[in-house]
Amino acid sequence: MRKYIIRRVLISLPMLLGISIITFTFINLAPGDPISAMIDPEEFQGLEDAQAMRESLGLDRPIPVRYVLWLREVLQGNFGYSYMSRRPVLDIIMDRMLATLELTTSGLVIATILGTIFGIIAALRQYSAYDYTLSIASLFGISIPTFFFALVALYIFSLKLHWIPSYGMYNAAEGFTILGNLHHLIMPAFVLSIDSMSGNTRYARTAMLEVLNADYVTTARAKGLAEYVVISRHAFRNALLPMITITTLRLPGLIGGAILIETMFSWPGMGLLSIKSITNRDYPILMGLTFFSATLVLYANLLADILYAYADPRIRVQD
Amino acid sequence: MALIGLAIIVLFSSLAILRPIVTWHHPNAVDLTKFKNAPSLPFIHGSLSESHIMGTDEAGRDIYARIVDAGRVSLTVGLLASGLSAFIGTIIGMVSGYAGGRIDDLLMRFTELVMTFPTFFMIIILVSLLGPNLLNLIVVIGFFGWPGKARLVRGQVLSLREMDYVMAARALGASDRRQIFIHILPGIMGYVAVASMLTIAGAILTEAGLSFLGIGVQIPTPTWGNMMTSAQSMFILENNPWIWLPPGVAISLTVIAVNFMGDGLRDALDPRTRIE
Repeated sequence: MRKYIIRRVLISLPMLLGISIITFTFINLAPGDPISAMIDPEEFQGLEDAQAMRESLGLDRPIPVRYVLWLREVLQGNFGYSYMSRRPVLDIIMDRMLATLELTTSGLVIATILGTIFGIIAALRQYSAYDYTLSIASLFGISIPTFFFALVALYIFSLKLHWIPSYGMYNAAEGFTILGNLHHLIMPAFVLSIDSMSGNTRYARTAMLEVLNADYVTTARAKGLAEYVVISRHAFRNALLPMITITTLRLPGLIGGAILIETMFSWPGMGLLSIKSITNRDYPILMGLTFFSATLVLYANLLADILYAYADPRIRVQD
Repeated sequence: MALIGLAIIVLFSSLAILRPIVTWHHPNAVDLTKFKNAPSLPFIHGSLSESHIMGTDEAGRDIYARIVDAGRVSLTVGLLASGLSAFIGTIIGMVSGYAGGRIDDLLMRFTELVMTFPTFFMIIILVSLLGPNLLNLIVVIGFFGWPGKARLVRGQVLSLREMDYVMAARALGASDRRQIFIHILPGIMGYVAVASMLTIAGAILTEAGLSFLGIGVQIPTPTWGNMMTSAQSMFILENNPWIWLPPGVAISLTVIAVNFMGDGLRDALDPRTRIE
Protein backbone atom coordinates (compact mmCIF):
# COMPACT_ATOMS: atom_id res chain seq x y z
CA MET A 1 0.00 0.00 0.00
CA ARG A 2 2.75 2.46 0.96
CA LYS A 3 4.72 1.54 -2.14
CA TYR A 4 1.61 2.16 -4.24
CA ILE A 5 1.12 5.62 -2.76
CA ILE A 6 4.78 6.58 -3.13
CA ARG A 7 4.79 5.47 -6.76
CA ARG A 8 1.63 7.44 -7.52
CA VAL A 9 3.02 10.59 -5.86
CA LEU A 10 6.27 10.26 -7.83
CA ILE A 11 4.38 9.89 -11.12
CA SER A 12 2.47 13.07 -10.35
CA LEU A 13 5.64 15.19 -10.37
CA PRO A 14 6.49 14.87 -14.08
CA MET A 15 2.76 15.29 -14.76
CA LEU A 16 2.87 18.67 -12.99
CA LEU A 17 5.83 19.67 -15.13
CA GLY A 18 3.90 18.58 -18.22
CA ILE A 19 0.89 20.63 -17.16
CA SER A 20 3.03 23.72 -16.73
CA ILE A 21 4.78 23.29 -20.09
CA ILE A 22 1.53 22.83 -22.00
CA THR A 23 -0.16 25.79 -20.32
CA PHE A 24 2.82 28.05 -20.75
CA THR A 25 3.19 27.24 -24.43
CA PHE A 26 -0.51 27.63 -25.22
CA ILE A 27 -0.90 30.90 -23.40
CA ASN A 28 2.24 32.45 -24.80
CA LEU A 29 1.76 31.30 -28.38
CA ALA A 30 -1.67 32.87 -28.51
CA PRO A 31 -1.91 36.03 -30.59
CA GLY A 32 -2.79 39.26 -28.84
CA ASP A 33 -0.45 41.35 -26.83
CA PRO A 34 -0.70 42.40 -23.19
CA ILE A 35 1.26 45.59 -23.94
CA SER A 36 -1.40 46.91 -26.30
CA ALA A 37 -4.06 46.02 -23.74
CA MET A 38 -2.14 47.95 -21.07
CA ILE A 39 -1.34 51.17 -22.86
CA ASP A 40 -3.85 53.93 -22.45
CA PRO A 41 -4.40 55.27 -25.99
CA GLU A 42 -4.57 58.84 -24.68
CA GLU A 43 -1.12 58.59 -23.12
CA PHE A 44 0.52 56.66 -25.94
CA GLN A 45 4.15 57.76 -26.16
CA GLY A 46 5.19 56.01 -29.36
CA LEU A 47 6.54 52.60 -30.25
CA GLU A 48 9.81 53.02 -28.31
CA ASP A 49 7.77 53.28 -25.15
CA ALA A 50 5.89 50.07 -25.90
CA GLN A 51 9.20 48.34 -26.64
CA ALA A 52 10.62 49.51 -23.30
CA MET A 53 7.58 48.13 -21.49
CA ARG A 54 7.90 44.84 -23.35
CA GLU A 55 11.56 44.57 -22.28
CA SER A 56 10.81 45.48 -18.68
CA LEU A 57 8.26 42.64 -18.52
CA GLY A 58 10.68 40.26 -20.24
CA LEU A 59 8.27 39.69 -23.13
CA ASP A 60 11.00 40.18 -25.76
CA ARG A 61 12.77 36.92 -24.87
CA PRO A 62 12.10 33.58 -26.57
CA ILE A 63 9.39 31.37 -25.02
CA PRO A 64 11.66 28.54 -23.73
CA VAL A 65 13.81 31.09 -21.89
CA ARG A 66 10.72 32.70 -20.39
CA TYR A 67 9.46 29.28 -19.31
CA VAL A 68 12.68 28.41 -17.50
CA LEU A 69 12.72 31.80 -15.78
CA TRP A 70 9.07 31.37 -14.78
CA LEU A 71 9.67 27.86 -13.46
CA ARG A 72 12.69 28.99 -11.41
CA GLU A 73 10.56 31.63 -9.70
CA VAL A 74 7.63 29.24 -9.20
CA LEU A 75 9.89 26.78 -7.39
CA GLN A 76 10.66 29.61 -4.97
CA GLY A 77 6.96 30.26 -4.47
CA ASN A 78 6.78 33.30 -6.73
CA PHE A 79 4.11 33.06 -9.42
CA GLY A 80 4.94 36.47 -10.83
CA TYR A 81 3.01 39.72 -10.83
CA SER A 82 -0.21 40.68 -12.50
CA TYR A 83 0.44 42.82 -15.59
CA MET A 84 -2.54 44.97 -14.61
CA SER A 85 -2.45 45.53 -10.86
CA ARG A 86 1.24 44.63 -10.31
CA ARG A 87 0.19 42.60 -7.26
CA PRO A 88 1.70 39.11 -6.76
CA VAL A 89 -0.31 36.46 -8.64
CA LEU A 90 -0.33 34.19 -5.60
CA ASP A 91 -1.98 36.89 -3.45
CA ILE A 92 -4.63 37.63 -6.07
CA ILE A 93 -5.48 33.95 -6.51
CA MET A 94 -5.52 33.27 -2.78
CA ASP A 95 -8.02 36.13 -2.34
CA ARG A 96 -10.35 34.36 -4.76
CA MET A 97 -9.60 30.74 -3.96
CA LEU A 98 -11.79 30.49 -0.85
CA ALA A 99 -14.91 31.72 -2.66
CA THR A 100 -14.44 29.19 -5.46
CA LEU A 101 -13.67 26.37 -3.05
CA GLU A 102 -16.81 27.15 -1.07
CA LEU A 103 -18.94 27.09 -4.22
CA THR A 104 -17.44 23.99 -5.86
CA THR A 105 -17.20 21.97 -2.65
CA SER A 106 -20.83 22.66 -1.83
CA GLY A 107 -21.78 21.74 -5.40
CA LEU A 108 -19.74 18.54 -5.23
CA VAL A 109 -21.22 17.50 -1.88
CA ILE A 110 -24.81 18.13 -3.03
CA ALA A 111 -24.16 16.30 -6.31
CA THR A 112 -22.52 13.29 -4.67
CA ILE A 113 -25.00 12.75 -1.86
CA LEU A 114 -28.22 13.42 -3.75
CA GLY A 115 -26.96 11.74 -6.93
CA THR A 116 -26.01 8.55 -5.09
CA ILE A 117 -29.31 8.44 -3.20
CA PHE A 118 -31.37 9.02 -6.36
CA GLY A 119 -29.40 6.42 -8.31
CA ILE A 120 -29.82 3.78 -5.62
CA ILE A 121 -33.55 4.44 -5.27
CA ALA A 122 -33.91 4.09 -9.05
CA ALA A 123 -31.97 0.81 -9.05
CA LEU A 124 -33.86 -0.70 -6.11
CA ARG A 125 -37.18 0.12 -7.76
CA GLN A 126 -36.10 -0.73 -11.29
CA TYR A 127 -38.80 -0.11 -13.94
CA SER A 128 -41.06 1.57 -11.36
CA ALA A 129 -42.49 5.06 -11.71
CA TYR A 130 -39.63 6.33 -9.48
CA ASP A 131 -37.09 4.80 -11.82
CA TYR A 132 -38.62 6.32 -14.96
CA THR A 133 -39.06 9.73 -13.37
CA LEU A 134 -35.47 9.80 -12.08
CA SER A 135 -34.09 8.52 -15.39
CA ILE A 136 -35.89 11.20 -17.39
CA ALA A 137 -35.05 13.90 -14.83
CA SER A 138 -31.37 12.98 -14.85
CA LEU A 139 -31.28 12.95 -18.65
CA PHE A 140 -32.77 16.45 -18.62
CA GLY A 141 -30.25 17.41 -15.95
CA ILE A 142 -27.24 16.50 -18.07
CA SER A 143 -28.79 18.01 -21.21
CA ILE A 144 -30.04 21.42 -20.13
CA PRO A 145 -27.20 23.98 -20.04
CA THR A 146 -26.11 25.14 -16.59
CA PHE A 147 -26.49 28.79 -17.55
CA PHE A 148 -30.09 28.21 -18.65
CA PHE A 149 -30.88 26.63 -15.27
CA ALA A 150 -29.19 29.63 -13.68
CA LEU A 151 -31.28 32.12 -15.68
CA VAL A 152 -34.51 30.32 -14.82
CA ALA A 153 -33.53 30.07 -11.13
CA LEU A 154 -32.64 33.79 -11.02
CA TYR A 155 -35.90 34.66 -12.79
CA ILE A 156 -38.08 32.64 -10.45
CA PHE A 157 -36.38 32.85 -7.05
CA SER A 158 -34.70 36.26 -7.20
CA LEU A 159 -36.75 38.40 -9.54
CA LYS A 160 -40.28 37.05 -9.10
CA LEU A 161 -40.37 35.56 -5.59
CA HIS A 162 -37.58 37.72 -4.08
CA TRP A 163 -36.51 34.80 -1.89
CA ILE A 164 -32.85 34.68 -2.72
CA PRO A 165 -30.45 37.51 -3.59
CA SER A 166 -29.22 37.46 -7.17
CA TYR A 167 -25.57 38.37 -6.71
CA GLY A 168 -22.56 38.39 -4.40
CA MET A 169 -21.44 36.25 -1.47
CA TYR A 170 -23.11 38.18 1.34
CA ASN A 171 -25.14 41.30 1.89
CA ALA A 172 -22.70 44.21 1.68
CA ALA A 173 -24.84 46.38 3.96
CA GLU A 174 -25.03 43.77 6.72
CA GLY A 175 -21.42 42.64 6.36
CA PHE A 176 -20.32 39.02 6.36
CA THR A 177 -22.49 36.65 8.39
CA ILE A 178 -22.56 32.88 8.08
CA LEU A 179 -26.32 32.86 7.61
CA GLY A 180 -26.16 35.61 4.99
CA ASN A 181 -23.41 33.73 3.20
CA LEU A 182 -25.42 30.49 3.11
CA HIS A 183 -28.44 32.40 1.85
CA HIS A 184 -26.33 33.65 -1.08
CA LEU A 185 -24.63 30.27 -1.59
CA ILE A 186 -27.61 27.95 -1.86
CA MET A 187 -28.84 28.87 -5.34
CA PRO A 188 -25.51 29.01 -7.22
CA ALA A 189 -24.29 25.84 -5.47
CA PHE A 190 -27.45 23.95 -6.31
CA VAL A 191 -27.52 25.10 -9.94
CA LEU A 192 -23.83 24.19 -10.27
CA SER A 193 -24.52 20.71 -8.90
CA ILE A 194 -27.41 19.80 -11.24
CA ASP A 195 -25.22 18.54 -14.09
CA SER A 196 -22.98 16.39 -11.84
CA MET A 197 -25.90 15.23 -9.73
CA SER A 198 -27.73 13.94 -12.80
CA GLY A 199 -24.62 12.21 -14.09
CA ASN A 200 -24.07 10.65 -10.65
CA THR A 201 -27.67 9.42 -10.56
CA ARG A 202 -27.13 7.59 -13.85
CA TYR A 203 -23.83 6.09 -12.68
CA ALA A 204 -25.08 5.09 -9.25
CA ARG A 205 -28.11 3.39 -10.82
CA THR A 206 -25.90 1.34 -13.17
CA ALA A 207 -23.40 0.51 -10.42
CA MET A 208 -26.14 -0.61 -8.04
CA LEU A 209 -27.87 -2.72 -10.70
CA GLU A 210 -24.59 -4.42 -11.53
CA VAL A 211 -23.96 -5.22 -7.87
CA LEU A 212 -27.53 -6.46 -7.33
CA ASN A 213 -26.96 -9.02 -10.08
CA ALA A 214 -23.64 -10.21 -8.62
CA ASP A 215 -23.30 -13.73 -7.28
CA TYR A 216 -22.44 -12.66 -3.73
CA VAL A 217 -25.74 -10.78 -3.45
CA THR A 218 -27.59 -13.89 -4.61
CA THR A 219 -25.60 -15.86 -2.02
CA ALA A 220 -26.49 -13.39 0.70
CA ARG A 221 -30.16 -13.66 -0.21
CA ALA A 222 -29.92 -17.46 -0.38
CA LYS A 223 -28.51 -17.48 3.15
CA GLY A 224 -31.81 -15.98 4.18
CA LEU A 225 -30.50 -12.54 5.20
CA ALA A 226 -33.08 -9.81 5.60
CA GLU A 227 -33.41 -7.73 2.44
CA TYR A 228 -32.23 -4.52 4.14
CA VAL A 229 -29.07 -6.28 5.37
CA VAL A 230 -28.40 -7.55 1.85
CA ILE A 231 -28.87 -4.07 0.44
CA SER A 232 -26.98 -2.09 3.08
CA ARG A 233 -24.12 -4.50 3.91
CA HIS A 234 -23.54 -6.36 0.68
CA ALA A 235 -24.83 -4.28 -2.19
CA PHE A 236 -24.59 -0.66 -1.11
CA ARG A 237 -20.93 -0.75 -0.07
CA ASN A 238 -19.78 -2.26 -3.32
CA ALA A 239 -21.90 0.09 -5.39
CA LEU A 240 -20.14 3.01 -3.68
CA LEU A 241 -16.72 1.96 -5.02
CA PRO A 242 -17.11 3.32 -8.56
CA MET A 243 -18.66 6.49 -7.10
CA ILE A 244 -15.25 7.39 -5.61
CA THR A 245 -13.71 7.63 -9.07
CA ILE A 246 -16.75 9.32 -10.59
CA THR A 247 -16.71 12.01 -7.91
CA THR A 248 -13.18 13.13 -8.74
CA LEU A 249 -13.82 12.90 -12.47
CA ARG A 250 -16.52 15.52 -11.86
CA LEU A 251 -13.99 18.09 -10.62
CA PRO A 252 -12.81 19.51 -13.97
CA GLY A 253 -16.44 19.90 -15.02
CA LEU A 254 -17.35 21.64 -11.77
CA ILE A 255 -14.46 24.07 -12.12
CA GLY A 256 -15.65 24.84 -15.66
CA GLY A 257 -19.24 25.21 -14.50
CA ALA A 258 -18.06 27.52 -11.72
CA ILE A 259 -16.79 29.99 -14.34
CA LEU A 260 -20.32 30.37 -15.74
CA ILE A 261 -22.01 30.34 -12.35
CA GLU A 262 -19.59 32.87 -10.84
CA THR A 263 -20.09 35.20 -13.79
CA MET A 264 -23.88 34.99 -13.58
CA PHE A 265 -24.19 35.28 -9.81
CA SER A 266 -21.27 37.76 -9.43
CA TRP A 267 -19.62 35.27 -7.08
CA PRO A 268 -16.15 36.75 -6.48
CA GLY A 269 -14.09 33.62 -7.17
CA MET A 270 -11.42 32.38 -9.57
CA GLY A 271 -13.91 32.01 -12.43
CA LEU A 272 -14.80 35.68 -12.41
CA LEU A 273 -11.09 36.48 -12.11
CA SER A 274 -10.28 34.32 -15.13
CA ILE A 275 -12.82 36.08 -17.37
CA LYS A 276 -11.39 39.45 -16.33
CA SER A 277 -7.81 38.26 -16.92
CA ILE A 278 -8.69 36.95 -20.37
CA THR A 279 -10.09 40.34 -21.39
CA ASN A 280 -6.90 42.01 -20.12
CA ARG A 281 -4.59 39.28 -21.49
CA ASP A 282 -3.04 39.11 -18.04
CA TYR A 283 -0.82 36.07 -18.78
CA PRO A 284 0.74 35.60 -15.31
CA ILE A 285 -2.70 35.32 -13.70
CA LEU A 286 -4.01 32.98 -16.41
CA MET A 287 -0.91 30.79 -15.99
CA GLY A 288 -1.39 30.76 -12.23
CA LEU A 289 -5.11 29.92 -12.48
CA THR A 290 -4.62 27.09 -14.97
CA PHE A 291 -1.71 25.70 -13.03
CA PHE A 292 -3.64 25.80 -9.76
CA SER A 293 -6.78 24.21 -11.08
CA ALA A 294 -4.93 21.48 -13.00
CA THR A 295 -2.86 20.73 -9.89
CA LEU A 296 -6.04 20.56 -7.83
CA VAL A 297 -7.55 18.05 -10.26
CA LEU A 298 -4.33 16.02 -10.44
CA TYR A 299 -4.09 15.61 -6.69
CA ALA A 300 -7.81 14.98 -6.32
CA ASN A 301 -7.37 12.10 -8.76
CA LEU A 302 -4.42 10.84 -6.76
CA LEU A 303 -6.47 11.01 -3.58
CA ALA A 304 -9.27 9.10 -5.29
CA ASP A 305 -6.89 6.35 -6.43
CA ILE A 306 -5.53 5.98 -2.91
CA LEU A 307 -9.03 5.95 -1.39
CA TYR A 308 -10.07 3.41 -3.98
CA ALA A 309 -7.13 1.15 -3.16
CA TYR A 310 -7.97 1.54 0.50
CA ALA A 311 -11.64 0.69 -0.05
CA ASP A 312 -11.10 -2.16 -2.51
CA PRO A 313 -8.75 -4.86 -1.20
CA ARG A 314 -8.44 -6.39 -4.69
CA ILE A 315 -6.27 -3.48 -5.81
CA ARG A 316 -4.02 -3.63 -2.75
CA VAL A 317 -3.38 -7.31 -3.34
CA GLN A 318 -2.33 -6.76 -6.95
CA ASP A 319 0.54 -4.55 -5.84
CA MET B 1 -36.86 7.43 -27.28
CA ALA B 2 -34.08 7.37 -29.84
CA LEU B 3 -36.66 7.99 -32.56
CA ILE B 4 -38.06 11.03 -30.73
CA GLY B 5 -34.49 12.31 -30.53
CA LEU B 6 -33.94 11.73 -34.22
CA ALA B 7 -37.21 13.50 -35.04
CA ILE B 8 -36.19 16.60 -33.05
CA ILE B 9 -32.77 16.75 -34.73
CA VAL B 10 -34.30 16.29 -38.19
CA LEU B 11 -36.82 19.02 -37.40
CA PHE B 12 -34.15 21.53 -36.32
CA SER B 13 -31.85 20.69 -39.24
CA SER B 14 -34.60 20.97 -41.84
CA LEU B 15 -35.86 24.23 -40.34
CA ALA B 16 -32.33 25.63 -40.53
CA ILE B 17 -31.96 24.53 -44.16
CA LEU B 18 -35.42 25.76 -45.16
CA ARG B 19 -35.05 29.04 -43.29
CA PRO B 20 -35.82 31.31 -46.30
CA ILE B 21 -39.13 29.46 -46.79
CA VAL B 22 -40.29 29.03 -43.21
CA THR B 23 -39.41 32.50 -41.93
CA TRP B 24 -40.34 35.90 -43.28
CA HIS B 25 -37.64 38.05 -41.68
CA HIS B 26 -33.88 37.98 -42.15
CA PRO B 27 -32.21 36.76 -38.92
CA ASN B 28 -29.75 39.68 -38.91
CA ALA B 29 -32.11 42.43 -40.06
CA VAL B 30 -31.95 45.20 -37.47
CA ASP B 31 -35.04 47.34 -36.98
CA LEU B 32 -34.64 49.80 -34.13
CA THR B 33 -38.27 50.87 -34.32
CA LYS B 34 -39.16 47.38 -33.10
CA PHE B 35 -36.96 47.38 -30.00
CA LYS B 36 -37.80 44.41 -27.70
CA ASN B 37 -41.32 43.90 -29.02
CA ALA B 38 -43.36 41.17 -27.37
CA PRO B 39 -44.53 38.30 -29.60
CA SER B 40 -47.27 39.24 -32.04
CA LEU B 41 -49.38 36.99 -34.22
CA PRO B 42 -49.66 37.44 -37.99
CA PHE B 43 -53.03 38.70 -39.35
CA ILE B 44 -54.26 39.35 -35.81
CA HIS B 45 -51.66 41.95 -34.84
CA GLY B 46 -51.04 43.28 -38.33
CA SER B 47 -49.77 41.86 -41.60
CA LEU B 48 -47.33 38.96 -41.94
CA SER B 49 -44.27 41.13 -42.52
CA GLU B 50 -45.08 43.30 -39.51
CA SER B 51 -45.59 40.47 -37.07
CA HIS B 52 -42.93 38.64 -35.05
CA ILE B 53 -44.38 35.44 -33.64
CA MET B 54 -41.62 35.13 -31.06
CA GLY B 55 -41.06 38.87 -30.62
CA THR B 56 -37.92 40.88 -31.30
CA ASP B 57 -34.67 41.27 -29.39
CA GLU B 58 -32.89 44.37 -28.14
CA ALA B 59 -31.87 45.32 -31.71
CA GLY B 60 -35.31 44.68 -33.17
CA ARG B 61 -34.26 41.42 -34.85
CA ASP B 62 -36.85 38.71 -35.35
CA ILE B 63 -36.30 36.05 -32.69
CA TYR B 64 -38.06 33.28 -34.59
CA ALA B 65 -35.78 33.74 -37.64
CA ARG B 66 -32.71 33.80 -35.39
CA ILE B 67 -33.74 30.66 -33.50
CA VAL B 68 -34.23 28.79 -36.75
CA ASP B 69 -30.93 30.01 -38.18
CA ALA B 70 -28.94 29.41 -34.97
CA GLY B 71 -29.52 25.66 -35.16
CA ARG B 72 -26.92 25.51 -37.95
CA VAL B 73 -24.09 26.69 -35.71
CA SER B 74 -24.90 24.37 -32.80
CA LEU B 75 -25.27 21.29 -34.95
CA THR B 76 -22.14 22.10 -37.00
CA VAL B 77 -20.00 22.63 -33.92
CA GLY B 78 -21.41 19.50 -32.30
CA LEU B 79 -20.82 17.24 -35.28
CA LEU B 80 -17.42 18.53 -36.38
CA ALA B 81 -15.87 18.93 -32.91
CA SER B 82 -17.05 15.48 -31.93
CA GLY B 83 -15.83 14.03 -35.23
CA LEU B 84 -12.42 15.63 -34.74
CA SER B 85 -12.09 14.26 -31.22
CA ALA B 86 -13.21 10.81 -32.38
CA PHE B 87 -10.53 10.94 -35.10
CA ILE B 88 -7.73 11.96 -32.72
CA GLY B 89 -8.94 9.58 -30.01
CA THR B 90 -9.15 6.60 -32.37
CA ILE B 91 -5.65 7.16 -33.75
CA ILE B 92 -4.03 7.63 -30.34
CA GLY B 93 -5.96 4.73 -28.83
CA MET B 94 -5.14 2.39 -31.74
CA VAL B 95 -1.44 3.24 -31.73
CA SER B 96 -1.28 2.95 -27.96
CA GLY B 97 -3.12 -0.37 -27.78
CA TYR B 98 -1.48 -1.95 -30.79
CA ALA B 99 2.11 -0.81 -30.22
CA GLY B 100 2.11 -1.40 -26.47
CA GLY B 101 5.24 -1.02 -24.33
CA ARG B 102 6.99 2.33 -24.12
CA ILE B 103 4.82 4.07 -26.70
CA ASP B 104 1.69 2.92 -24.90
CA ASP B 105 3.00 4.19 -21.56
CA LEU B 106 3.94 7.56 -23.00
CA LEU B 107 0.67 8.08 -24.86
CA MET B 108 -1.43 7.06 -21.87
CA ARG B 109 0.44 9.42 -19.53
CA PHE B 110 -0.16 12.20 -22.07
CA THR B 111 -3.84 11.27 -22.22
CA GLU B 112 -4.14 11.46 -18.44
CA LEU B 113 -2.38 14.81 -18.56
CA VAL B 114 -4.93 16.25 -20.97
CA MET B 115 -7.71 14.79 -18.81
CA THR B 116 -6.54 16.67 -15.72
CA PHE B 117 -6.98 20.02 -17.40
CA PRO B 118 -10.18 21.79 -16.42
CA THR B 119 -11.43 21.54 -19.98
CA PHE B 120 -13.97 24.35 -20.09
CA PHE B 121 -11.46 26.73 -18.55
CA MET B 122 -8.74 25.83 -21.10
CA ILE B 123 -11.23 26.10 -23.94
CA ILE B 124 -12.26 29.57 -22.78
CA ILE B 125 -8.64 30.72 -22.60
CA LEU B 126 -7.64 29.23 -25.94
CA VAL B 127 -10.71 30.34 -27.88
CA SER B 128 -10.53 33.89 -26.62
CA LEU B 129 -6.78 34.14 -27.20
CA LEU B 130 -6.87 32.54 -30.66
CA GLY B 131 -9.89 34.58 -31.67
CA PRO B 132 -13.49 33.56 -31.24
CA ASN B 133 -14.65 32.18 -34.58
CA LEU B 134 -16.41 29.01 -35.66
CA LEU B 135 -13.28 27.20 -36.85
CA ASN B 136 -11.28 27.89 -33.69
CA LEU B 137 -14.23 26.78 -31.56
CA ILE B 138 -14.48 23.48 -33.40
CA VAL B 139 -10.74 22.80 -33.28
CA VAL B 140 -10.33 23.70 -29.60
CA ILE B 141 -13.44 21.85 -28.40
CA GLY B 142 -12.43 18.83 -30.51
CA PHE B 143 -8.91 18.91 -29.16
CA PHE B 144 -10.02 18.55 -25.56
CA GLY B 145 -12.61 15.85 -26.24
CA TRP B 146 -10.41 12.95 -27.30
CA PRO B 147 -8.85 11.49 -24.10
CA GLY B 148 -11.92 9.48 -23.06
CA LYS B 149 -12.19 7.99 -26.54
CA ALA B 150 -8.47 7.20 -26.72
CA ARG B 151 -8.75 5.17 -23.53
CA LEU B 152 -11.87 3.42 -24.73
CA VAL B 153 -10.31 2.52 -28.09
CA ARG B 154 -7.09 1.36 -26.43
CA GLY B 155 -9.01 -0.96 -24.14
CA GLN B 156 -10.94 -2.42 -27.05
CA VAL B 157 -7.81 -2.87 -29.17
CA LEU B 158 -6.09 -4.67 -26.30
CA SER B 159 -8.93 -7.17 -25.99
CA LEU B 160 -9.55 -7.57 -29.73
CA ARG B 161 -5.86 -8.12 -30.39
CA GLU B 162 -6.00 -11.32 -28.36
CA MET B 163 -9.15 -12.61 -30.09
CA ASP B 164 -8.77 -15.87 -31.96
CA TYR B 165 -9.70 -14.41 -35.32
CA VAL B 166 -7.01 -11.75 -35.06
CA MET B 167 -4.50 -14.38 -33.92
CA ALA B 168 -5.51 -16.44 -36.92
CA ALA B 169 -4.97 -13.51 -39.26
CA ARG B 170 -1.56 -12.90 -37.67
CA ALA B 171 -0.65 -16.58 -38.00
CA LEU B 172 -1.58 -16.44 -41.67
CA GLY B 173 0.97 -13.65 -42.06
CA ALA B 174 -1.36 -10.64 -42.26
CA SER B 175 0.59 -7.39 -42.14
CA ASP B 176 0.14 -4.97 -39.22
CA ARG B 177 -1.79 -2.66 -41.49
CA ARG B 178 -4.14 -5.43 -42.58
CA GLN B 179 -4.71 -6.58 -38.99
CA ILE B 180 -5.48 -3.04 -37.88
CA PHE B 181 -7.72 -1.89 -40.70
CA ILE B 182 -9.47 -5.13 -41.70
CA HIS B 183 -9.73 -6.96 -38.40
CA ILE B 184 -9.54 -4.57 -35.47
CA LEU B 185 -10.91 -1.21 -36.64
CA PRO B 186 -14.39 -2.47 -37.66
CA GLY B 187 -14.75 -4.04 -34.22
CA ILE B 188 -14.26 -0.77 -32.37
CA MET B 189 -16.22 1.60 -34.61
CA GLY B 190 -19.46 0.89 -32.73
CA TYR B 191 -17.97 1.97 -29.43
CA VAL B 192 -16.49 5.09 -31.01
CA ALA B 193 -19.88 5.94 -32.51
CA VAL B 194 -21.63 5.72 -29.13
CA ALA B 195 -18.93 7.76 -27.37
CA SER B 196 -19.10 10.34 -30.17
CA MET B 197 -22.87 10.78 -29.86
CA LEU B 198 -22.36 11.63 -26.21
CA THR B 199 -19.59 14.13 -26.97
CA ILE B 200 -21.77 15.85 -29.58
CA ALA B 201 -24.00 16.79 -26.65
CA GLY B 202 -21.00 18.05 -24.68
CA ALA B 203 -19.67 20.06 -27.62
CA ILE B 204 -23.06 21.74 -28.21
CA LEU B 205 -23.24 22.67 -24.51
CA THR B 206 -19.67 24.02 -24.53
CA GLU B 207 -20.32 26.16 -27.61
CA ALA B 208 -23.52 27.48 -26.03
CA GLY B 209 -21.73 28.32 -22.78
CA LEU B 210 -18.91 30.13 -24.58
CA SER B 211 -21.27 32.07 -26.83
CA PHE B 212 -23.39 32.96 -23.81
CA LEU B 213 -20.29 34.42 -22.10
CA GLY B 214 -19.64 36.41 -25.28
CA ILE B 215 -16.43 34.57 -26.18
CA GLY B 216 -17.89 32.08 -28.64
CA VAL B 217 -19.42 32.78 -32.02
CA GLN B 218 -19.80 36.54 -32.34
CA ILE B 219 -22.92 38.51 -33.22
CA PRO B 220 -24.50 39.22 -35.69
CA THR B 221 -24.26 35.47 -36.46
CA PRO B 222 -27.00 34.06 -34.25
CA THR B 223 -26.34 31.09 -32.00
CA TRP B 224 -28.63 29.89 -29.24
CA GLY B 225 -25.94 30.75 -26.72
CA ASN B 226 -25.24 34.32 -27.82
CA MET B 227 -28.98 35.06 -28.16
CA MET B 228 -29.15 34.61 -24.39
CA THR B 229 -26.18 36.86 -23.58
CA SER B 230 -28.40 39.89 -23.08
CA ALA B 231 -30.23 38.07 -20.27
CA GLN B 232 -27.14 38.66 -18.13
CA SER B 233 -28.80 42.02 -17.59
CA MET B 234 -31.32 41.64 -14.79
CA PHE B 235 -33.65 44.09 -16.53
CA ILE B 236 -33.98 41.96 -19.67
CA LEU B 237 -34.09 38.77 -17.62
CA GLU B 238 -37.05 40.10 -15.63
CA ASN B 239 -39.02 41.99 -18.27
CA ASN B 240 -38.32 40.30 -21.61
CA PRO B 241 -38.42 36.53 -21.07
CA TRP B 242 -39.31 35.98 -24.75
CA ILE B 243 -35.74 37.01 -25.59
CA TRP B 244 -33.93 34.35 -23.52
CA LEU B 245 -36.46 31.59 -22.98
CA PRO B 246 -36.84 30.23 -26.56
CA PRO B 247 -33.09 29.82 -27.28
CA GLY B 248 -32.67 28.10 -23.91
CA VAL B 249 -35.47 25.70 -24.73
CA ALA B 250 -34.02 25.11 -28.20
CA ILE B 251 -30.56 24.15 -26.87
CA SER B 252 -32.10 21.95 -24.20
CA LEU B 253 -34.32 20.11 -26.69
CA THR B 254 -31.40 19.57 -29.06
CA VAL B 255 -29.08 18.20 -26.39
CA ILE B 256 -31.85 16.02 -24.92
CA ALA B 257 -32.47 14.68 -28.43
CA VAL B 258 -28.79 13.92 -29.00
CA ASN B 259 -28.56 12.16 -25.62
CA PHE B 260 -31.70 10.12 -26.41
CA MET B 261 -30.04 9.03 -29.66
CA GLY B 262 -26.79 8.25 -27.87
CA ASP B 263 -28.56 6.07 -25.30
CA GLY B 264 -30.51 4.32 -28.06
CA LEU B 265 -27.39 3.70 -30.11
CA ARG B 266 -25.60 2.30 -27.06
CA ASP B 267 -28.42 -0.10 -26.29
CA ALA B 268 -28.56 -1.19 -29.93
CA LEU B 269 -24.82 -1.77 -30.27
CA ASP B 270 -24.01 -3.08 -26.83
CA PRO B 271 -26.41 -5.87 -25.82
CA ARG B 272 -24.85 -6.06 -22.35
CA THR B 273 -26.74 -2.96 -21.21
CA ARG B 274 -30.03 -4.66 -22.07
CA ILE B 275 -29.75 -7.55 -19.62
CA GLU B 276 -32.25 -8.15 -16.81
